[in-house]
Amino acid sequence: MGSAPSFDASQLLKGALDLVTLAVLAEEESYGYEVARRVWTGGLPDVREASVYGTLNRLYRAGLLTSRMAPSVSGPDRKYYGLSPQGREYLDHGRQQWKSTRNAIDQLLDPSPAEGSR
Amino acid sequence: MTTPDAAPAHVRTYLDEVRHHLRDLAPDDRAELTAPVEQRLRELAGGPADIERQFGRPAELAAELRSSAGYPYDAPMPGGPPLLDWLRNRSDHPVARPVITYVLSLRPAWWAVRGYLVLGGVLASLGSQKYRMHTIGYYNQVFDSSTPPHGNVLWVVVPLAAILASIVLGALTPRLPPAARAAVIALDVVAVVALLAFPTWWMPPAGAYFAGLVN
Repeated sequence: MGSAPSFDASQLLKGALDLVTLAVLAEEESYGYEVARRVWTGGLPDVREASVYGTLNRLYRAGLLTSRMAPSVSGPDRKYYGLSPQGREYLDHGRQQWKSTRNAIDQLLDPSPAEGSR
Repeated sequence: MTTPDAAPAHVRTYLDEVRHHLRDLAPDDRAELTAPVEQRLRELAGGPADIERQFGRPAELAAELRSSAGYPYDAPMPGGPPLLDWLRNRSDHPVARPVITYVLSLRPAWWAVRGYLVLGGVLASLGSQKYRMHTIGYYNQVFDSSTPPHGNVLWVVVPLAAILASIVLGALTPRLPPAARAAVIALDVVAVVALLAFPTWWMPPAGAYFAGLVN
């Protein structure tokens, strides 16, 4: 009999990456690699760099980000992203949704003794 | 600041392959998606192995970019040309990769040749007595019945239009529905047949003479 499959956290990260990316950019405008680095140092080292680049691309196309080009010392100009007004609104709404969803999942995964004995 | 041309050869090769895996996207979308990767690859010290350690194989990176950016997956064409499928399946082989990338990069040239040949095939089928000469002379004779100085420029314009149309068609082919892509493959076959069946179109007159194709 084989061992139980291990939990794959990548699906959780995929769902949260939009909000995480927007939250990082809400603090300060930044470019692709710097956003990825801040996601890693913020406690999500398993997020792949290319996923951050693709997410930035998608959020920008959706009108949630603004962008500007700035010179780089190491190559072609860099694209710096910031939050658009729609992006800020999306982030605020997303934060509320995340908190309520997280609370519900916490309750389901780790019910208190009182609730568990109901 | 370095110029875009300053990227090392292995970086360019890697990027070419990533772009190839994203070839179904519009050029601007593809460039936008791969720009941060290009920036990072220029900054990374090391060789091809270091790049793959950081980003994975080109196909994997392209798939991740595509997925996270919300672009649809570039599904292999059902019933596509066996040769192209064979090449795709080997495009990450370390030895074959540069060769395959180069061969696939020549496709725009083939699209141009295809337009030229298909037009010639159509015209030859309409006037079979006129095909035994090389192409420029052929088109000149087909279209230019007026006398100088009021020459008819159709003999230049029509072949150029056919070439341009074929190039545009080639660029759009990956985004066409399967039935339309099958029609494009049929067009390729017609062009190859025309190339092989009527070499006097594309072979200069002297070459055709020595090859015994023209009396």
